Amino acid sequence: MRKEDFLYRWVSLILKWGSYCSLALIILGLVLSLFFGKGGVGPFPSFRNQHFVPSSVSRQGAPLHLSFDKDYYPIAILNLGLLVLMFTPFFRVLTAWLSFLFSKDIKYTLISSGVFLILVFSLILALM
Amino acid sequence: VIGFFASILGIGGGILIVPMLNLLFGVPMHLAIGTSLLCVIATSSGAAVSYVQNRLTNIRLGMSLELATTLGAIAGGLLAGILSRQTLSIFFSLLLAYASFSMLSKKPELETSGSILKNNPEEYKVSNLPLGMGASLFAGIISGLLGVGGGVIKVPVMDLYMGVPLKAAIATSNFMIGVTASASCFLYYFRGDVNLPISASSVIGIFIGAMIGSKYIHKIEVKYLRKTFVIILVYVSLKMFFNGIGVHFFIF
Repeated sequence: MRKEDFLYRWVSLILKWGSYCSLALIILGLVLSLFFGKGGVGPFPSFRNQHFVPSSVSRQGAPLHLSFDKDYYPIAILNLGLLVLMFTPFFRVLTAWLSFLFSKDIKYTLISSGVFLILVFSLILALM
Repeated sequence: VIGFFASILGIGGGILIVPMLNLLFGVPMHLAIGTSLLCVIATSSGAAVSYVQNRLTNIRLGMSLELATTLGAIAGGLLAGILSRQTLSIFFSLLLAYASFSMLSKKPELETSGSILKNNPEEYKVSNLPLGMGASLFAGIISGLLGVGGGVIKVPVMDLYMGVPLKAAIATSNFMIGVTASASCFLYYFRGDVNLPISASSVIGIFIGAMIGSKYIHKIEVKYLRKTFVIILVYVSLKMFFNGIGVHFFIF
């Protein structure tokens, strides 16, 4: 397989799986929350208690709350979908970096390392 | 609808999503920007699947320019406290007005002489990389300051000055905006500036629109893409100009 084919094939696969997985999880979380979520529980109320009108639009606190409480399952699934979506570009850069590294393309290995390090830096900054 | 048009124009859609959420639905600005960034990633990932498979995306060029854009996005975040947003808005609007004029005045014979038929990265030669890096750095600064993808700057620069065919420029810009938005989105998400119901429903719509748009780009003639892009550029240019001088109309 040509180096170029390897790069495009793997980046495309990561994009495809990342996109489809995140879309499936978001739809599943949304459907479960609309039909089975219990309203008004803890900091992550079901969507039944949230309206799409301006007055009720508010911050939801730290969204990375992946509770094992079954009442929170829909929100946890939805959050997981959004996280998969946010990390797809991250893994896309990592895959490109690995492809350049294996094909011994030094110039682009260094360039993609730079992009990857900047993304890691922004993630650390966000977590801090 | 925004996902469809954003994917065929190589923009994230943030320039349309933020005002729509803020002005039409009354969503607070910080939540509108957080949601918009998630939508930009959805547009990028949804459309890039098809663009990368069809070799429209120039991954090497995208990665090189991305280095400048992500650095610019960080610089934009730092500059936000120093530069006046009004000054930057007026400067940005003038630049976009110039880009829209340049795109309109590009001679059609340049497009029929073979460049649009050669969208594969191995079939055209990229020139003026330093200019592209500079423009990408600026696009990153704008992205960090205003929460948009920056495609409105990158696509005209790649198309007009770097020898990249328009459709390849759109696909490459689309590939890049997801990475830039991802860097900023982490900050918004972990700070809690993302509203789940609004984000989930917007992301689903954008995803589907972007996937459909990326399948149809081959069937759309470049002259129509160019004209649509110019309309978007003129709209954003006027919006930024009015914001810069402190005038706020409904659609501006």
